[in-house]
Amino acid sequence: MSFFLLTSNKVYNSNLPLDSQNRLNGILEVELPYLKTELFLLSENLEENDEIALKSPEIIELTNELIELGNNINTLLILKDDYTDSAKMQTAVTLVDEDISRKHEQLNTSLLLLKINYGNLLEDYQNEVAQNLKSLSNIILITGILGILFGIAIAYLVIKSISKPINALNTAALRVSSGDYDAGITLDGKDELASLGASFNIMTSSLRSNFELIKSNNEEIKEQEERIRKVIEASPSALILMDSKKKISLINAQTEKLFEFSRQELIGEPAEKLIPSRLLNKETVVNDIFSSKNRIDTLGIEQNFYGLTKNNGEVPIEVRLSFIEIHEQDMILASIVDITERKHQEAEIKKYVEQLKSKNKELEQFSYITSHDLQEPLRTVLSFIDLIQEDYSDKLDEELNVYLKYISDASNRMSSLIKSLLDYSRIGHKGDLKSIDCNILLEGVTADLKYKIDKSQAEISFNELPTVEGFNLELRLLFQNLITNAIKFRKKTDKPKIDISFEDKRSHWQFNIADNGIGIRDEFQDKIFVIFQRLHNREEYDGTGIGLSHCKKNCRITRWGNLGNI
Amino acid sequence: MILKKRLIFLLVSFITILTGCSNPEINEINIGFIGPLSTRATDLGIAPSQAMQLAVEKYNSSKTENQPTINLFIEDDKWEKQLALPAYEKLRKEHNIDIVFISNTDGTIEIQDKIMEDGVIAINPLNNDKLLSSLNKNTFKIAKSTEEAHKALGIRLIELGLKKTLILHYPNDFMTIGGNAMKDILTENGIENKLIEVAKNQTDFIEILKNAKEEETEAYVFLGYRDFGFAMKQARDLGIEAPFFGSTTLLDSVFFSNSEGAIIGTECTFFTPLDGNYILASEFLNDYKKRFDYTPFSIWPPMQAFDAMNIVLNEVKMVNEDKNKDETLENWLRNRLFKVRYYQGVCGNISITEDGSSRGIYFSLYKVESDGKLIKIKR
Repeated sequence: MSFFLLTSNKVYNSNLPLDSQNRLNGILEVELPYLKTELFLLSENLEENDEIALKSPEIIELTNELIELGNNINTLLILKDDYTDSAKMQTAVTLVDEDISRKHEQLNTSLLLLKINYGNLLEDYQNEVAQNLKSLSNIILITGILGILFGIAIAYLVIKSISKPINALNTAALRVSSGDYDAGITLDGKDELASLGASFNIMTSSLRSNFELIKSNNEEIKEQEERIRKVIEASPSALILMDSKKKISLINAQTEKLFEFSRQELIGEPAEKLIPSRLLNKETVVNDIFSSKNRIDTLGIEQNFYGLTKNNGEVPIEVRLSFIEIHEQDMILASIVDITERKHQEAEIKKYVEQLKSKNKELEQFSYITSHDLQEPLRTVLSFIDLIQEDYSDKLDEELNVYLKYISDASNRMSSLIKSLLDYSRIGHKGDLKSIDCNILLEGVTADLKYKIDKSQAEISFNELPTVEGFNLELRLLFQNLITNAIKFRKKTDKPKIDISFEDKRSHWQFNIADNGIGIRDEFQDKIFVIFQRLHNREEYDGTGIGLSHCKKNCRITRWGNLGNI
Repeated sequence: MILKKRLIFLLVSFITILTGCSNPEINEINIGFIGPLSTRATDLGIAPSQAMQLAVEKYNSSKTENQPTINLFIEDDKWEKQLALPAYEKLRKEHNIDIVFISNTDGTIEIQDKIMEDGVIAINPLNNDKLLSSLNKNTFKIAKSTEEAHKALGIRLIELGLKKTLILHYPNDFMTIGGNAMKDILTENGIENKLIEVAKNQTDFIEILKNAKEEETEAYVFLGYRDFGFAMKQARDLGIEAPFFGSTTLLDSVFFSNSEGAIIGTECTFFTPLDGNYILASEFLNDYKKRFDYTPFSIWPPMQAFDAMNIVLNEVKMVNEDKNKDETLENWLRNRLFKVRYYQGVCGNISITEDGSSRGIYFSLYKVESDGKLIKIKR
């Protein structure tokens, strides 16, 4: 319709807007060719005797003719001047009024018929599709029902084929669970269930052998438990096992005996029950062991600790606490020893020590007093002997003078002995511990003994010595005595050589005083420290025989430990 | 049990074989656009690229799972034919494009050999002339006819009774073809005319204009770009009062400013929503404004580009359903485009003919009323 109007308008209106011309061009160049193409493609897909397929060539031909006529009009009438050209106008009018009008009418009729045919065709097609769909849906429904029934049958057979051996397996499994390990199963075939049945038989066989093994293990465990129980019961210590809440879970016979409680009275009871209330704070040790784990602690070793008996009596005890883990549960094992007897013995020993100390003190006091008091009459004796010798020597005969000399010598010796004894008893009675440089000390000693050293041509050597804690006087006497002894007991043929050295023993110093003297035989090593004990006669070596006793006492007093071999 | 296992194995194998035989899907297709984004004729590059971007975004957001994703990559050729090939090479190298849109006629010619070598389909979304249609089978022109647009301008000159015409044209194929189309119709109808090609960056036209004035030229046709604004101003300054005519590229604000208003009254061929599918065109312009926050100055380039891209997308979306596995994308798409007989776009109902050119986009006559505003001419 647009095409005819636009072409008519173009022919009869010389001022046709360019928009209309463009619209006409669009119909001629796009829309009518599109119509042709679509119709051609449609008829290609239809049967040859189809109404539309039969009409299509005619419509396409009409469309082509209209396109050509439209193009002719466009070519004829381009400029306004073309409208003034009567020949052109005559041709154009003829084209529009006759050709285009007629062809357009035919095309419209054909398209209308085509539309009707197409509508009918579409309706038939839709009906056919609807019918087909209905039939198809019935087929689908029937097929579906048959499929479902078939599926159910197959499923039933499959389920049955699976459930039968599974039921057999289930029965066998139930028998096994009730302890019948001889329950076997036989499944035919080579499929997975048959394989499962074989595995089940292997499993029951394995279970049976494992069960027997467990049984024998249990017996062994029971025996071990019995042994352990007997060991626990036989333990001389009272044993108490308590849990993390300090509840008693196990005791032995010794515990019953110690605390006078029966086993039934203690199991499940708090351990505090066995401790006097005034000592309950000691319990923190138990908590510490639980918190630190693996720790071992004691009660009653350094301090007195007591257990509380059923009759509220207190027993001195020593407790050793150990952390143990039993079945992932934290426990404490208390090993308790009754130390009543030991405490008694300790008290006895203490008493004896005190008595001994007192006796020693008395003895020392006696020695002091004795030696001091003895000096006085001896001095009187000596004074008178001196007076007799000075005033009456010429009046006495020679034999009496000799006797007097013996009495004088003996008295002097006795005085010397008493003085030594007095000195010995005085050792350790005064003075404070001081830091002593042994080098300075030895220099003083050698200076004091210079006369003896020079006279004997003794050589004394010592390297850098340490500074030690001690009593200055006692140490000085110690070194002095040892050096004097070394000079005194020298070999007649050799010059005395004395070497003083020390060794660092980490916990103490070890001083070594070595000389090239006559030495002391092994059998006399202990004897030489006994007071007034001499190994040589006075003619050979003078002295009182108390020097090394002094040394030993000095060592003891200065806490220098022991004198070693001399 | 073993029998059941075998049956399941056979069924799985069968399904695997069946699925394995299916066509490998094309998940992505990269498309390039080469156009003037700077320097000259940017109204033929920026807005069209955005219109194509809009079309691609709409497609990607509404496509089904088995339709390929489209990626659009844009390159600037500054409206220089020498830059077309490097831009194309870059798009191929960096994005391996299968389709290229190019708006410059000279540039389209420049990449001809290369697209055939690479198996790439080229679409010119702005120009459609006989020269382009004589090129290779992989080049499509989805745009107005250059010759027709300029022929309409020639007819207008004839109808106005203007007997002596000076046609100045920019030295590129589009303007040359347009000038020749005008010259042909004018000559056919006995109108004296002179066709002069100006230099590329020429801004001084005084000498030419002086001569034309002396020859009592009755109509001045400026087929070119913004630099002709200077020519219009120079003409008016020389006292030339004859009417001006222009090509499809007049609606450029720089053109207007160069002419200092002398462009007002110039008649040209142009295209607005009124000339196409008004409803679809209005919808497109609304979407465009919503997406880019402005309405393009010259609206026909983005409208044509939008249609051109949509025609391609309309075919490409069928690739995984329609393309045979042995068929190349190039062959498949070319055949599909040749079969486009009726596409209802913003520019009207479009078809593609056997030579790869489109039909259905028709320009009308307009007159510049003010900066950025044209009014339709009624005969």
